Amino acid sequence: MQSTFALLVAIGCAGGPASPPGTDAPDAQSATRDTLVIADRNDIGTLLSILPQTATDADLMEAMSLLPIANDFDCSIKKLPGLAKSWEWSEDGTILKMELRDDLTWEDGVKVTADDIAFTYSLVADPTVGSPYINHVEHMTPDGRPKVIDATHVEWHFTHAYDRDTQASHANLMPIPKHIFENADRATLRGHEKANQPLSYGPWRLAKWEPNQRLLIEPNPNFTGPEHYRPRLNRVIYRVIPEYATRLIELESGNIDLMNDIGVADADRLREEHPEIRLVRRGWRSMDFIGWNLTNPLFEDLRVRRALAMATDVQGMIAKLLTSKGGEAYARQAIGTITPALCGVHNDDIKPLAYDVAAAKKLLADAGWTDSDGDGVVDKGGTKFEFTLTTTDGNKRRADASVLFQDQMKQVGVSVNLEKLEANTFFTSLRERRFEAGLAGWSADLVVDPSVVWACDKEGNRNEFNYGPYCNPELDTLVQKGLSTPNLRDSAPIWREVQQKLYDDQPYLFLWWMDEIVGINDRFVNTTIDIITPYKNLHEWEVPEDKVKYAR
Amino acid sequence: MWRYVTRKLLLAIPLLFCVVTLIFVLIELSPGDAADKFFSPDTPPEVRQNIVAKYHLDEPALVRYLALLRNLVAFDFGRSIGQERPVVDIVAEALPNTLLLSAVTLLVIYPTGIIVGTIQAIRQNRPVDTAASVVSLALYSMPDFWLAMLLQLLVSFYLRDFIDLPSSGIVDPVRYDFMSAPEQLVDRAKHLVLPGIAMGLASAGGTARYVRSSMLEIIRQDYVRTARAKGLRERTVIVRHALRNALLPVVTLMGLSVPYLFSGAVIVESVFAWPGMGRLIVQAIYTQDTPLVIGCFYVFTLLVVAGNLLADVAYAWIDPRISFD
Amino acid sequence: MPGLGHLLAGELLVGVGLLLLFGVWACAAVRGFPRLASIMGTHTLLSLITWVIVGFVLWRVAYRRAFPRRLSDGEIHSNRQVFYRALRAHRTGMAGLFGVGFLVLVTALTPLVAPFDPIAIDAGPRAHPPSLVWWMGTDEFGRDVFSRVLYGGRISLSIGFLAVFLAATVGTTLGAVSAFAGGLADRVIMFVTDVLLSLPRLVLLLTIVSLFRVTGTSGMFLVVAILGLTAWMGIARIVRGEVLSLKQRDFVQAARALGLSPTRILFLHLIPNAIAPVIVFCSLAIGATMLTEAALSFLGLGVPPPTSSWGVMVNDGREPLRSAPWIAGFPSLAIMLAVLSFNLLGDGLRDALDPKLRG
Repeated sequence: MQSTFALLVAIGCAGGPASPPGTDAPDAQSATRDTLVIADRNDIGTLLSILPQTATDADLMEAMSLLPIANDFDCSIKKLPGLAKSWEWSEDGTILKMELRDDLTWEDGVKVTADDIAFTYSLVADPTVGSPYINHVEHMTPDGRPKVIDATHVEWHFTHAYDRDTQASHANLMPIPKHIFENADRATLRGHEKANQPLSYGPWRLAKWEPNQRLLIEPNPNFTGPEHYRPRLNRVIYRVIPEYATRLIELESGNIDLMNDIGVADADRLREEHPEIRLVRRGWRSMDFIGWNLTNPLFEDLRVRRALAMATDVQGMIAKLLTSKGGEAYARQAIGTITPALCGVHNDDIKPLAYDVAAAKKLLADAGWTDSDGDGVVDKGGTKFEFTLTTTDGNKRRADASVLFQDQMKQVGVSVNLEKLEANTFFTSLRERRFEAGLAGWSADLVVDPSVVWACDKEGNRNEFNYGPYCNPELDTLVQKGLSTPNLRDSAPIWREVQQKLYDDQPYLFLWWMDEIVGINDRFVNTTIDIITPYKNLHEWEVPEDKVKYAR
Repeated sequence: MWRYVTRKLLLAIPLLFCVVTLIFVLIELSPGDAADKFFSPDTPPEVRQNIVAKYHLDEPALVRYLALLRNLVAFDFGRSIGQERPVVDIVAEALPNTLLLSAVTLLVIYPTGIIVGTIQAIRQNRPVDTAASVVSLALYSMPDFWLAMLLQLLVSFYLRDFIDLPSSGIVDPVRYDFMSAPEQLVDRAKHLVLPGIAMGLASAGGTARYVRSSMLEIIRQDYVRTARAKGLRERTVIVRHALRNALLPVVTLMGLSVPYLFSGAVIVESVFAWPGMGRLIVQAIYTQDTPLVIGCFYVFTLLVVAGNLLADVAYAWIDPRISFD
Repeated sequence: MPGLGHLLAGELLVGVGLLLLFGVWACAAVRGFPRLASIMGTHTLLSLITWVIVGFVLWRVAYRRAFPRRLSDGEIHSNRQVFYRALRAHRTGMAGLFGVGFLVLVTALTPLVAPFDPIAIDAGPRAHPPSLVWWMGTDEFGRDVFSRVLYGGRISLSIGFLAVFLAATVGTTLGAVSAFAGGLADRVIMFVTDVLLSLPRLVLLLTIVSLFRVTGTSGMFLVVAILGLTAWMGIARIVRGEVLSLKQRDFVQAARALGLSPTRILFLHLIPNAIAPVIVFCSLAIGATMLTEAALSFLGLGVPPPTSSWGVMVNDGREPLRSAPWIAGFPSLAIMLAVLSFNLLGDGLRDALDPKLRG
């Protein structure tokens, strides 16, 4: 859905102290020990970097290999060398030159070259392929995406200069081997026989894929890169277990080592009963919100939207749904679509509208909504204030939130009907603007680009992710100004202003940013589980000799 | 006897025909454009055209029906919307797992049921009988997901220090590759225990009750009294004479319960992360992957028809009274 | 009032003694009530009292029905009387009957006996284990699980009854027509029956649900409809068998000779006489249908929200299973007890009808 997100889950395998290539101790044979067992609810969709289907695909792919520009995150993205040794921008910011490493090869021995990158991007740009990353090439010139200078040098030619982090992210797709896929049928790439056994040039390779059961990931014996990338585990196994309770049981009995999305109540329990499981928070990666259909007469009036926001006890909902019994909150109220993790960019000064039922009622009355017939539901000109809130099936938290919301709306005389739709259907209804109010979510954009969500529809071209649709030309201009500012430090004040304007306009009822709770067995050290990916720097994860569980 | 078998086989054909018709009717009747069910919003136009051509989706109903018939008979279910692989491949991967689990379940149901039922009949109205009846009835009335979850929680988790039975999967995810062949067999067997029991225990209870009443009837019969009067040992009487005849209706029961067997797989496979067709069809429904749903349904039905056929043949083989013309 | 009877009969000592005891008990109850009420909550206490009274009344009535004071022997009993006696004598069958009766009664009286509003959020603390106030604990919204189980029972039982009723109607008609008309109609109907019987029910239901996605309250009717339409086959077969054997009987020949129209014969004479085994089957079918509906809801493909059947409650309780097992546990138990009652009742009815098993 959020195509930029998948990219921006830019999981690098680099990020450690970047030593220049070629200076590693020649016979550092790091011993590998033990096995990491991960369990999650979905099988992978495909392992082609340009056609990810789920976040798991992206996470795993990029844990196994090297992005051109690796990413670290500390209040903002820090770029590190990966497949690309170095890069620089031209003076005017329209050309990005990249120099690639020359020592990386695909598993079959063929070198990874600029041709692979060019080929990959030619696929992305081809509408037949249907890659969700097609918007990455939107701002690139037809012969500059990229332009191959030689085997290790490419140039990205952009149509105009914009935020450099964004430019870098657009140029940062992992290549797929040209010599394998050059004759593949472009329309059915996902079904290609090699699509799920891609060749790797990184520290790990996919040894086996048993559909719907498990993935076996092993250190790549044909890895030709620097020593410090060598994995320290024998293997990583990814198990598909659809049932949450089963995953939890397996985690508690020690049969799996890493589990994502642990529930709040269970986190408490695990903390008490299982000290051998380390709980890590991946903060503020995703948010929930209630989107209003702004063409619906009910939601046209700003006063109404503000009133509804004031009538919603977001903190109360967080206390009920996302806070442990011990009082630990695993969420934070949201005031926009920019994640608080981007400190400095996120506008911490915006105070959310306070929960005030009386004030909400008054605002509604000011807008003409009163209960003239005494039935408990406010009305205006003969129409009752009644609407349907849809959300996705199978997401317990959202379902629970919608129930609480319905209850709170009753207090101000607004009648809400709840409806659950299957995920694809739901998102289609949002994209096609066939909804009244929808409880949906966003994943954090680590590269700031509010135009994805908030830009007005262009001529004949609907902005798919602008569900309202919301249109404020003044805001668009401001956003464009921010996007064309080369670095985040300078554009931060612009973004803060954008957030303030948006919050004042209340296009959506922003609910909260959530912490995701990941449980990992304590014997694993040197782990990095952060906002970008739960499997960061997988090659550095290791188990001390005395704690090894799986001897072989 | 072979004529009987052939006749039964021939009867299966109109049966399949009807199933295809049913599938067609369901697709046509369900809301939404029939064509849209085979696509997702992201399907590229060329792929769409291919699918339309294959199923003749833009032509009148009769042509569509024949196309569906042809495709299903040829096991060509099209491509899965979600996984973009041929449905037949996906189903082929999942099918052996379900068959294995079903076979084990049969082993749980029938031997247990027959033994318990027989014991109950012999010791009628004694404490053993009453206790077994109560337990059977309770198991029979229990929702299968509850039984599955209870087994998983109580046995594989709370008792994990005493009994080593895994809670999910079909093999040990880490160690299986390093096991010797006999160890691998043991590992697979261990993984089959809990799901098999979860699937079979309720039916075992039902079978036990059925066997019990069947045996009670038989025991009263004259030829049993004759056998006893002849001085044969009680065990011989029971096993060689009474049981054989009591089992005839049980075989019928086996045939009738085949559909239920595969249905039960759906829940148990979900709880125990068993990569079989039950879990597959549930997943297909969640992701609205219509070609996959149809493929699964069709294969399930084939399995049931095959199972019924086998049961009929087994029955005919066992019962000497059936005439074969 | 205890004691009065004895007084009137002249037993003064016993009567006065009982009266005094009653007086003491009444005082204690009156004084203890507020105390108990503050511990348990007034609504819970009232609900408890209602339960006790209802339970006691039920017990007395049932006891008397099952073990009547006098059985007149030596009279000629009609078939129906024989049937009733056999049923009453069948212990487990009666247990099933009480179970079913209890369920129906509680379901009807739910608004009276439920201590809390089932959709009232924060009726209690979140995810609280069972206690004196919340007999089955609370769920993560603080809703009382016991009240939800009661109201959920209304949904589950209704679905079971309605679906089987539908199945019985369709099945009886088709079976009777098939047997009565004979010939081609018979072959066709039986063929269709065989086809549908050989389909795996849950898988068929899942397929239908996936194709016909309905939301809201109409979803419940869809579920009832498809449950019913996949359950009529067994009934059709039974009815057909019965009607076939009845067809040759004298009273049918007589009706024919009299010139009664076939429809009249069918509906007024044949079906009523064939109905007995159908009732047995229905009892068992209700149990099976409730299990199937629970399975569907467990997979999230049954009754759509906001309707909450027992199966839906179990589904909701799946995620908190480890931290709050009572949320899923009690609805599961309720399903089991309900299905058990229907199974026992069905058994009792079948044994009572079976001439071989009666003495």
